[in-house]
Amino acid sequence: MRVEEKILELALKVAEAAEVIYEEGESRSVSFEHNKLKYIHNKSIRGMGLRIIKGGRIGFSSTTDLRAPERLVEKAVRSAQFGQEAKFEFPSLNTFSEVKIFDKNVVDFPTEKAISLGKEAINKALSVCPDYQCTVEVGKGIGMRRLLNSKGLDISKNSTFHSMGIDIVHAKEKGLVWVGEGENSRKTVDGLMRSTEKILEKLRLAEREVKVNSGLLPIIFTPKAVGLLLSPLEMGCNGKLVQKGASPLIGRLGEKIADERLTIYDDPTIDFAPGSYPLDGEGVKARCTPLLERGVLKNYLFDLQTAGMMSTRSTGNGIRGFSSQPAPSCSNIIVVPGDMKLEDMIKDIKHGILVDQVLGGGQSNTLAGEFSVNIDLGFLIEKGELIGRVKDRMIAGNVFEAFNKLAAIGSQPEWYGDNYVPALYFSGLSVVG
Amino acid sequence: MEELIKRALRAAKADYLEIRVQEGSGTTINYTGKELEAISESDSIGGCVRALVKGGWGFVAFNDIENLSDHVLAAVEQATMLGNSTRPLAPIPVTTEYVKARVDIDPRGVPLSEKHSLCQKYNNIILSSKLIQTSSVSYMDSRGVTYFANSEGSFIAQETIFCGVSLLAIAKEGANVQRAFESVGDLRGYQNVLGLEAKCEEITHRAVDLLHAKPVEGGLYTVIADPILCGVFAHEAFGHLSEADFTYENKKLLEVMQLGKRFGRDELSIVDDGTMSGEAGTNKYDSEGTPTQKTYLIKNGILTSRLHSRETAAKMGERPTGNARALGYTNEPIVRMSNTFMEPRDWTLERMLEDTPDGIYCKEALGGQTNMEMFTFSPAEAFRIRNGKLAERLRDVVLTGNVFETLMNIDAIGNDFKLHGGLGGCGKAGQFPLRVSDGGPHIRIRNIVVGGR
Repeated sequence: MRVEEKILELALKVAEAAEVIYEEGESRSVSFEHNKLKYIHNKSIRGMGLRIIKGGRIGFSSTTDLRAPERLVEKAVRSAQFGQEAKFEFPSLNTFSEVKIFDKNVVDFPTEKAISLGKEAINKALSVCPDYQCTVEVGKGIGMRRLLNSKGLDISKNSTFHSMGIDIVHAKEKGLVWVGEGENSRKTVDGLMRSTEKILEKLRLAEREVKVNSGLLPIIFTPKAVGLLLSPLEMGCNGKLVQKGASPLIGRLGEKIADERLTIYDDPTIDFAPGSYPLDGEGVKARCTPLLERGVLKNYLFDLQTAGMMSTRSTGNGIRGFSSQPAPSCSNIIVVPGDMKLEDMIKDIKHGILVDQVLGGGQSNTLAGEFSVNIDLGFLIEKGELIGRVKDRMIAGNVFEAFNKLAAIGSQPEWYGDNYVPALYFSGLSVVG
Repeated sequence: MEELIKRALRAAKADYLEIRVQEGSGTTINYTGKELEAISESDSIGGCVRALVKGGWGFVAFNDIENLSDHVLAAVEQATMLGNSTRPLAPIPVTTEYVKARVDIDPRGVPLSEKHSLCQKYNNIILSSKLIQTSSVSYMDSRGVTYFANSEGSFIAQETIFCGVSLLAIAKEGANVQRAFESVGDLRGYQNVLGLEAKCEEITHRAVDLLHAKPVEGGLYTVIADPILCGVFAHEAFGHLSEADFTYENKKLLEVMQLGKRFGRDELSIVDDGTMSGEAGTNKYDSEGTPTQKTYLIKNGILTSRLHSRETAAKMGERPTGNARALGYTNEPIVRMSNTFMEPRDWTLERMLEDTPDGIYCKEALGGQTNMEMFTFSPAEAFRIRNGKLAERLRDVVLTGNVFETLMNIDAIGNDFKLHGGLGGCGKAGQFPLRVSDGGPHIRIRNIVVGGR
């Protein structure tokens, strides 16, 4: 009998219901620092979490020390004395979405190839400017998660991930520019050279530094920068914050809260996407959930317990690792593309800024939609042309208001982290400096 | 454990080998609104091996300690794949020591029920106000022993006991949602999280007051920062740039960061000190077994030294400072700050205010970030200063500055001092949150850009 089964059995001697999550993963990464090959990291990590319902209350404990299973049960029982009243039952159905999250090619991807790709990218960068300092990381991993509970659910899933990222720093007499790009997926990625070329183009544009006066300016956020604007919506739709009464989007389902061109989904069922999963962390089948459809607020995201408290159903967003209990969270956020190319947005602007990286996101009142960030990497647009780097400037606004001042939505979405998003073009945001 | 580790060190040959094994346990409790969202105790054990072969590093992290010798072999094999040069490490003394944690009250001796009651008490204070929509009270403690051994013959066991609590109040009127936050956390012990009733009241009032505060108008301001925000400023505006792993291979940057160069006025001194008893960033030895120390980053306005690992110190011909810190057993040590602060001088806050006809007074911190050129930092609380007096409360204040310019704009340094840890921490290269303390006196900074609509 494997240790996770033994723990379930031990737990059921003292509790009326129980769930065990076991995870193990092996990852390897090759990294270059300051243009030189430096590290190979190997991490093989495993751990287990036990959630029980005893006397109607939830108890939880986790460990990476698998030598003493009784201790895990003992600690979960102690926690259940105080735990929240359970408003759900563990799911019994062994059903899941047929989404692909495993690619054998990732497992077979050789370390030597990671090394040669890294060298190639760095050589390319240094051929443009020998002063560039490159950091490259190529990583791959394979993971296994087994979820079993006292209702008979028992599902094991293997997954893989592959990532390649490069950062280039260019130090100058006064200051420096730091640009990063990368790709990650559950299948093999091959875009390190593309990422490098993107950065080189941005570094070229940043060569010249230009001044811009404070004021209300048209602003384009590149797909890389759009993540900043999505976090207030992600928080506002989080079932936990809705249940607590803290979300500003409470009671607004069915209401038009944004420009009607804006449609946004949470979708864990996209093959090989970084945030995809066939079932969530407590065994609920993954599904696509619209958050905004044509500007109308459609759904909040729930796990089992929060849904139970709100007398609704889980949306399959009970996300967790073995060391924590499930909580509502987003999977992949998909912003449906519009019809304007990034080039055309730039051409459309007489005097404005293209924002690619920001500094200080999350330091504002994100829950209320506020943002106030330094334009870490941004370019001044004059008469439809990018003419140089803007720095020491802040850009501020409220996302929920800005979503009603959209000039256009980009037609070419890109993956950044778990977001698949196009560029967003706003008619006027406040720039200060 | 000592025998297992020492035997494993002999499993393979490398230019340098180190093993860290970490055993620990901890408690987390979280109230959000009326509900106890989490209460659990957990255990962990894990380790890592780092091997250096001809200039290449191999790093292996794992939970199955029983196979330690195999992991040593794997790390050496990985390092061998990369090695084709040399990578000297600056010398440090060979040490054998068991460092015991010293705390006022050991949280392990406090029953879970008592910790729970404490959180419940704090939570009830916050929720007792009518305008408070919801709350969050998080408690955590952890006790760990890290065993460190290297191929030079050192064996160090360090015990660490961390304990802290964070308090959050959220007030709401319609779509207007405002938050106020406080957190304590360091190595002092359980006493540290007791007696915070007044803090709970304070954040409750602050969150409610913020509902009617005016959003700040963007622009250039004179800013007076309190000791806690001054600490975040010292950390973001300069601390990160003094971490030598960013500069040590970058010739251009080294010209800019030459020791002896002026970075501020004569009154400005910024220090990193990993030896301060009870502070969040304190360790007797860093994760490479180097003793920690007090390091002047800027002394009297002049760049004096930087923070080092053994590797960056060797490369630059300087001495290791005990700042190679790993977040945990799954991470390799990288150059990090410990307790970072600005030294006090002679201004009283009263005089500073009187001397400031127009500006913003900023208290405590929500966070900070830097890209090594520019930085942002944001206060938890802000007030407009008019005619030398505190006036109306402001909200949504985020400040920004330039690493190479803003330090010069500090024109008054206070005579008070405070260091602050907390449940958050510092993030770098994916290693977050690393426990650190930041601090300083009240300071006045000219020409700070504040974002706003």
